[in-house]
Amino acid sequence: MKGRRIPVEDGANSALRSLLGSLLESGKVDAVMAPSRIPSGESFAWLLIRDPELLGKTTPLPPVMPVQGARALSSLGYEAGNPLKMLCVLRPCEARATIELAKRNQVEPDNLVLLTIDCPGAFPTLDYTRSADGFDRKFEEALRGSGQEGWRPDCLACTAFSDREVAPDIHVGRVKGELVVLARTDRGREVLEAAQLAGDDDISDWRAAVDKETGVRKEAKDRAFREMDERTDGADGLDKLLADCINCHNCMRVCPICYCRQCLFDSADAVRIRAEDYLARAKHRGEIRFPGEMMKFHLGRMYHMALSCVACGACEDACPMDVPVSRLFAFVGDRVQADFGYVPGRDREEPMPMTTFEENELHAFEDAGGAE
Amino acid sequence: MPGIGLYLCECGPNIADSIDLDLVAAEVEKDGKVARVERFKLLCSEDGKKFLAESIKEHGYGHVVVAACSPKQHQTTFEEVAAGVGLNPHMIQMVNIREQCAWMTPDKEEATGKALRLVRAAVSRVRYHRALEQKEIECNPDVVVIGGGTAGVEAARRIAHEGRKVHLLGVAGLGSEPGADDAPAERVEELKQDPLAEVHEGCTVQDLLGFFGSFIARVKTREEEEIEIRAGSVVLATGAKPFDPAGFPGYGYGMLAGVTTVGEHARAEDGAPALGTDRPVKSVAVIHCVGREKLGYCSGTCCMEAMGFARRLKQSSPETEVTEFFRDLCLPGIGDDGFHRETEELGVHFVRFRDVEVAQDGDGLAVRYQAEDGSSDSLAVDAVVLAVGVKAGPSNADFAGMLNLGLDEHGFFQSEHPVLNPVGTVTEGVFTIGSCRGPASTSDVLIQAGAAAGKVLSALVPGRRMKLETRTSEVADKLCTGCGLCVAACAYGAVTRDDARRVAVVNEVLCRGCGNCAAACPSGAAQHRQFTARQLDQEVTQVLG
Repeated sequence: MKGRRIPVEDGANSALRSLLGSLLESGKVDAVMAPSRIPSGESFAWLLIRDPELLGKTTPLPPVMPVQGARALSSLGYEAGNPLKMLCVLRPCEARATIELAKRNQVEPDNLVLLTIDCPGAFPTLDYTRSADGFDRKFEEALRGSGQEGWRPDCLACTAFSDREVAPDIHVGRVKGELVVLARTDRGREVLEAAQLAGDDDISDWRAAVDKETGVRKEAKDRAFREMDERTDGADGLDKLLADCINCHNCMRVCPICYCRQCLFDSADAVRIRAEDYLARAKHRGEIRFPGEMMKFHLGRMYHMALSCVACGACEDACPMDVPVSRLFAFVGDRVQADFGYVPGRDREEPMPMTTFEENELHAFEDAGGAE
Repeated sequence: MPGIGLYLCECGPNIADSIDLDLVAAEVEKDGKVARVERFKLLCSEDGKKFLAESIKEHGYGHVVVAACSPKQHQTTFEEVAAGVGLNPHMIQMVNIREQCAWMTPDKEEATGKALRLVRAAVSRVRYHRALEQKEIECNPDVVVIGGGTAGVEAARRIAHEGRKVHLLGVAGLGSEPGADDAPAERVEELKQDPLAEVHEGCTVQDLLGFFGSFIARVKTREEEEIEIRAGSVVLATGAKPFDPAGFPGYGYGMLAGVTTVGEHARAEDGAPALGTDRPVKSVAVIHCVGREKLGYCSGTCCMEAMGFARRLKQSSPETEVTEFFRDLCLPGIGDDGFHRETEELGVHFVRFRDVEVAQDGDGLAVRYQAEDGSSDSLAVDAVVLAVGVKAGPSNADFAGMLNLGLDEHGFFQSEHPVLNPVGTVTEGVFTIGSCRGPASTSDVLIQAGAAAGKVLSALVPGRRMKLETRTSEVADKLCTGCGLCVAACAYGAVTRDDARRVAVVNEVLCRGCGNCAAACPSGAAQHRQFTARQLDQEVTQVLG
């Protein structure tokens, strides 16, 4: 695969901004959705921009991910046939979640041009807001290729930081003082050609660097999963892991894949247990923790989204109690996805396992002793 | 507020000996959720039913739990008792403490503990039962016939003739368009004139949903319009395909000039047939049994067609030499044998072969064959006509999938029973006729069409009513995000997505209450009416205790 190499002179974000300017001025897209620093300077929010002059406000690759891009996109509402084309500047995990939402009719992908950027990781949002300057410096160092401290645990174990497990229209890689821009779909190629950014430069050095980094991350991921495997072992492993949970449901609210209009556990018809039942159960067991739906909430959410979990870390970032919820979901998701040979967000056409039935699944289940 | 009545059935000694029912009664009473617990020797007996009816009436229960045998055995019994005293039958929950406890768990203490958990689960869940309404629909007496060949046209004609509305769908690419085979053109015309018949030619059947009394065919017409046709029963007459000899070089088909098949001349009734060669044709070889080895069966109809062709040829040009090469002649019945003799008397030669091959011979063709006695011989001819077998049409698998029909090893539709119900299928209200169920002669096809028409007319009498499933699913618009997971999960085509409102919609007539949609729905928007999240939660919580 070939691409266009663009020199980075005044930092990666500056080069990315001028790249976005060229794409918006190409006339092939009508608006750009990109992160921008909020006025106080302490965090970032999504902006929809139609005027190329205002792209200077954006930080295409920010040091934090306060609102997952797919979550932001699905909040726009989806409308097939909308003539406005939007260029969405996303981290790979945000684009993967977007593709999963598109499979569930929560995003209308025909109107979107997804652009992903090699992601160095993100810092915990709360840490960042307390010391934005310090983290900005760290992030700049990381973009220049050094500085590996303070990242969110999910980012350190992320092997999908480049374009290998995601299907964007355009991908932007980062390598030694340069960006490499490549089209991944016909739509992406059309936009790049109109902006005169299609290129035929050799990019094998970038590929080699990505492969090397992937190997490092893979080791970190294996370590993280081994740790999670041990922590969740035994009858009360999961109980202990989630013990600090205060039922705030923040993890559900920020999760890009949790797309229900209203969570069952927030609803008036919630499966809450009557006082008499609590008392009856307390009598059998001697004691009972309540509210009782904490474990059910986490397990229910896990069941609903494990196949599509892209391990973006948004849930853990939003948890006020530092429950390792994202690391748990990433671990479970990885195993469930492996069972079905499914990689969320990798392929727009790949059907979700939930919507397909293959006869051999039944036999695999029988062979595993499931039908005894 | 009307309370919950709990009835424990002893089932003679079956339950009473293996479970401490008094303990179960005492424990459940202590939970304070039921108004009263009563035990009875045999609730399904006449005395038992009378006791149950009077007791429900006397105490005015709003919900009832019956702990007894498997609901497979007596759920209907107790539902009828409830209905008899004005209690909606859906307010009853059965607990199977016989098969699942008394008969399964030898230790009395363990069996009692298990029964207690299951009874508690039922009591907890029954509190959330709603009265469900029993709906009835009138069966649709109309008939949809798919396939417009001889079989389909005859069935449609007979059904319409008896005053019943019939839709005839000529299916594109199936060789079963009206007039595509030997369906007499005047019968097709007659049908088109019939106000009770609607003939749609060149359709694609996209889906067939529903059941006896209420089928829906989703059809794309030749004009690319998508329509829905509703009918109470379905007659499949989708025909078959001729065996294609092109893949077998020994016959020279598609390679040598002058090699054609009988089927290509089937409708050329007038004058001498064009035999694929510019040379004057003075001699013709007709080769039988083409494809028989590959297909694995004798198609049974090709011998007669081959002889029919030979006779037409002889009649139009008596001086032409015609030789029929056969491995076996299939001449069942009195008429077929006579037909063969007459054909011989017309001067058609018959040669039995063990093996046969067609080759180029100068400007003409040679049929090289091994005769019955093992000797090899060759006959020079000007043209060769192949009598090919019949194979199952490729659409059979599609229709079998849509209607849950069985296919035999060759891909033809299977009868419900070859003797007792040859034109019926395992799906009530669906019939198969003609060569889609195996090669058949024209007279057999007409007999099958008549049989299916008779079955349809007698089973689906106008005015017949049908009770709908009450335990179906529903979708709460306010919770639905229109993601479509339930649409993919529904095996009955009962859930569709309303694209305008962006919500899922359940068709109550098609819904069989399997609950797949509710299981697939993450938000609880799709729920099964008698397996709601709350009911299941209550039940499971109590079972796990």
